[in-house]
Amino acid sequence: MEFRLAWARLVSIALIFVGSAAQQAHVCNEELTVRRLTPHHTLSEFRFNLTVPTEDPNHGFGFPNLLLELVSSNQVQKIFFVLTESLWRHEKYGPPPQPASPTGAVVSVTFEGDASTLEKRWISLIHSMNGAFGTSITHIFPDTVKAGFEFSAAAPRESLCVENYTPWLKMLPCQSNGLVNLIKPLYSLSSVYRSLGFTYEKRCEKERCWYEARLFAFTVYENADERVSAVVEAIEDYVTAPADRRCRVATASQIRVLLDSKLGSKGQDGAVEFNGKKVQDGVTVEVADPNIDISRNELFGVETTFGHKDKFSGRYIGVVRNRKSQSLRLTYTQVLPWWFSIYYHTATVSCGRLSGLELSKEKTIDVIKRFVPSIDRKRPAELELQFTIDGGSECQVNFDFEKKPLRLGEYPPDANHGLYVPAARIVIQDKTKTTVYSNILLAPLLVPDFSMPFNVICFVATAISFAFSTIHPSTTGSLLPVNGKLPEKKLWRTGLRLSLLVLLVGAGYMEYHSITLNALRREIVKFFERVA
Amino acid sequence: MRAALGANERPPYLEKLLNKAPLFSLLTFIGALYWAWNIFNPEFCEHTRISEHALMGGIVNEKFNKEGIYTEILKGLPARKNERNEYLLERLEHYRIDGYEQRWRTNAAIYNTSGVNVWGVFRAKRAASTESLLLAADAKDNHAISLVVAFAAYAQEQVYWARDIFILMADGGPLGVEAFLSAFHHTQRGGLVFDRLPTRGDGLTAMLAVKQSSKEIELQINQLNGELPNLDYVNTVIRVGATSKFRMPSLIYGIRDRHEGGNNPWWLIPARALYTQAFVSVEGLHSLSTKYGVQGLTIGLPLNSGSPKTAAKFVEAIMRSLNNLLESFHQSYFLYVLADEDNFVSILYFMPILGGVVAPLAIFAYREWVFAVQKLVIPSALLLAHGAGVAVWYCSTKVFREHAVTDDTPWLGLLAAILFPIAALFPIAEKSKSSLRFLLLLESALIFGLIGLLNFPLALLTAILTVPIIIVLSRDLSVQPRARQILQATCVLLAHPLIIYLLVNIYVLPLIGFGSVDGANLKLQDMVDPIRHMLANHLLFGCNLYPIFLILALPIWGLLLRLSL
Repeated sequence: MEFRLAWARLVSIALIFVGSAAQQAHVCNEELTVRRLTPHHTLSEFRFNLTVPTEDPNHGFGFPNLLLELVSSNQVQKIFFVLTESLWRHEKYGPPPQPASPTGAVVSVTFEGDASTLEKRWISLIHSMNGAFGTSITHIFPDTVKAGFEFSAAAPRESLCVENYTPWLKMLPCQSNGLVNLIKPLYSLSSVYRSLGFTYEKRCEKERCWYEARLFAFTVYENADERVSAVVEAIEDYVTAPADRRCRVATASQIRVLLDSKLGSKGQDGAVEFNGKKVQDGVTVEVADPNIDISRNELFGVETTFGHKDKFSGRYIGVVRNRKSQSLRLTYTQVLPWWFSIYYHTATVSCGRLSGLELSKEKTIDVIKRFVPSIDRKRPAELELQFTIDGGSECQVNFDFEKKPLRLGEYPPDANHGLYVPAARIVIQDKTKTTVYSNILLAPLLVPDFSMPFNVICFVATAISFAFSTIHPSTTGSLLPVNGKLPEKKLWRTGLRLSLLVLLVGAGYMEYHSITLNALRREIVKFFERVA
Repeated sequence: MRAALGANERPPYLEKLLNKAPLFSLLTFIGALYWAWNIFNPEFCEHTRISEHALMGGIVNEKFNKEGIYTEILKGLPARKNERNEYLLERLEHYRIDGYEQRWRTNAAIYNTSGVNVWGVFRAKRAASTESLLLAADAKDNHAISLVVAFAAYAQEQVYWARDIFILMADGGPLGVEAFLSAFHHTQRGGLVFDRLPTRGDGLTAMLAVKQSSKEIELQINQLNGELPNLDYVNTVIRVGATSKFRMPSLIYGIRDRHEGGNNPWWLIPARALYTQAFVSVEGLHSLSTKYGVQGLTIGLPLNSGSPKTAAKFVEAIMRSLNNLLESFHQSYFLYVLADEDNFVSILYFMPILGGVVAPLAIFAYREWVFAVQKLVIPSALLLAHGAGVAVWYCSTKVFREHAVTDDTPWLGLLAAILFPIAALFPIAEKSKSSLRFLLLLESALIFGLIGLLNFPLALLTAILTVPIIIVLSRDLSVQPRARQILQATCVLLAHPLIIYLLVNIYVLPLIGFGSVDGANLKLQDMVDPIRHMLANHLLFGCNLYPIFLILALPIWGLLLRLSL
């Protein structure tokens, strides 16, 4: 119930924003929600919603120029871009705030206009975003999933650092006033989960179009008591501050604190008080008690892993747990890089009933499958499975795979670390549509001995020289004197042999005394200097 | 200028090699042993070095401060001895560590046992759970368990972990670890049935097992089938122990290094290293990890006599070193023999020993080929002998896996099958004896070479013992007096691999501090026990000594006997 209520609330807020955007020309809403996930974890959600008409985007607070530049130069209709550090632990934190995101970076774009230039515009957009947002995602092209005008790709290893916050903050209309005051990028580094991103959409209705951008930043802190008191103090400072600290262009500014109902009350004059202090005008504050029940968080879980793992092959195992009483309809999508060869015929989904931690005997169930095979160095494989998971059950998605060898230049510098595999995306068709992501995976690579070419050349050359200089002549050759006449002795030949012998002895002497060639060169230079 | 060679002539050096085969064989054999004597001497060995600098062993500032929890668990375990697992799970939950039980049982009737592992996991707070580490202790070792739980309680509060850390209290020792690792890697091998893990991490990078030792740090590194953990890992532990913070020199193979005040001869450490790698299948909890691609070792810590806080800091130092690792272990050696704490012999230097020891087989095979084999015939006895070995292996593993053994009768039956020279029953035509002799010598040389690539100590030690026997006892004595032929057959009969093993156990192993057989009171059980151990280790852990013994060693012995008859 808690789960559904939370989503219903989020969706209703989103609808309010959409509705208000439809009525007003320029909309700028800001919202902060702070809520307990567990007794030890607190989530802060910052959401900024900007809507402007396309004919006058710079009027009022002004739509982010960066976004306008990106979308106009590449004819983009929609963008979803998010950077996430760490992992959303479903069975501990409960359902993730939407839009959910996997570890790393995710870019999803819908283009419009000329279909023949899609590829070129995708490359151009990624390069532009890479520079604009301080990321390193230009390697994602072979991992791009394309469906018509939609392009999407994930970079699971991408991290979220302080420098990524700067361009994101610069997209906000108020960069020093308003709720943005409460975002402290440096502090977020001490969090256990953080996610930062935006969605952009060009939306048209009755011959009128709007640009819509929704920026969001989610952060989960541990050690909630200390952190919460700091958060409460920061909010208190903000809501009791004079109006000049507000974002003046914001059409709505709301703070929702789901920590402790004692934090909020109505004063004697009817004014809202936060933590015993009067809330100043210009901001709406809602305070409630979240009634944390950890068991509710454990209702749904997903994790992926590799079994039978070796350097050549393995088994992919995705586990989905549904501890709710009712069944859920799922769409499970896993994108695998091109260097995975999936044995499609082995893809099965087997389910069993959960009783506590125990799992009854699993049975293979019928699923609707969609599979797009990979093309080497061009396209990843995509496996989509639709199935229903019963209440109180666990389902395992299994398939076997092999890893393809990479070319020497395709290995990353830390080849023995392995390469990352994007998280599985699970779309739950409950009353509302919820997206969750699994963990990303690290796949060890088939790593060659990078120094082996050198070793092979040395050994093979040595072996061949030995073979030809001794074994080959002695086994195949027969030396017959032609005329019994030996070659004449020549002084130059003797001299050449002598000089070769001197060189050989000299090299041995240098090797024995560890004299380097540079040292020798210096000595020769000194000798000639003395002679000169 | 060399004279021209005719069509059937050989170069002079090959002629010399053939004519003086015994001399050259003796030279290569003794030369190899002399080479071994020199290269295993720590004075001449390579000095160990850490190739993976990211490990940064001993550089961190250890801050373990939960010695109170160590004491609490140590007192709590005996007090709740009837509900140890419940107590441990309760404590783990208290320290905010997710704790679980895992039940397992063997499905090999030869060793019918079961257990319940207690394990826990705390996630790296800021990482994406793509890699993990395992810290394990035997469920019977209260000191080690207390240390693991206390360390976990401390470590789960820290934010610097890049890898999830799993802790395991393994019931049944190595069997418990096998059950956990199998479940972790979603594998199902022959010997065990176990619960699956309700949650897990990914990419187990390394395993550290701790146990209680008497006085010093005891380091155990041997893995199943002669494998070893990466030398960087071993080095890290040794170097962390040797830092001024700990001042704990390590005992390698139970021996103190001479540089650290030990008074044992230098050859004892490499001798023990070779013997244990070859014949001790499961040395400790860590021994099965390499099978799963996980680098593992066990450290014995003086928990009873020393300071638990120092021991826990030592564990912290190692775990943080492993946490620093950027890639999987790959930089340093996997094939090496430790000569002492700070010196090792790499594969480059030790493989020529095997070449020298096995070369006489190749020389005599060549001589047989040149002088005796008129037309090469592959005798059916050769294939049948190995086929019989496969049959005995298959039947014995099936019987002992599926049927409970209540008395010694099946074992005596197996012993009889092993002692009985089945291969000697297969007929061989007189004219194909030279071919069989040639093939036997060649096959032996190849087998030693191949085993040497997988398990060098096993190949070397068995080759040192059996190469002279094979060469001497495979000689053609058909024109010699009957008495010599009978003597040869008797010698072959006595050179049964099991008898050689017993003789080595009685007379050689005590020299290096091993050997459990009392020569003066030899019993039938002394012959059954090694078979029982080999078979159990094969069925439960996948040790390959048993199939090598049945499919390779016994047929060669049987064929030797056939040749001598």
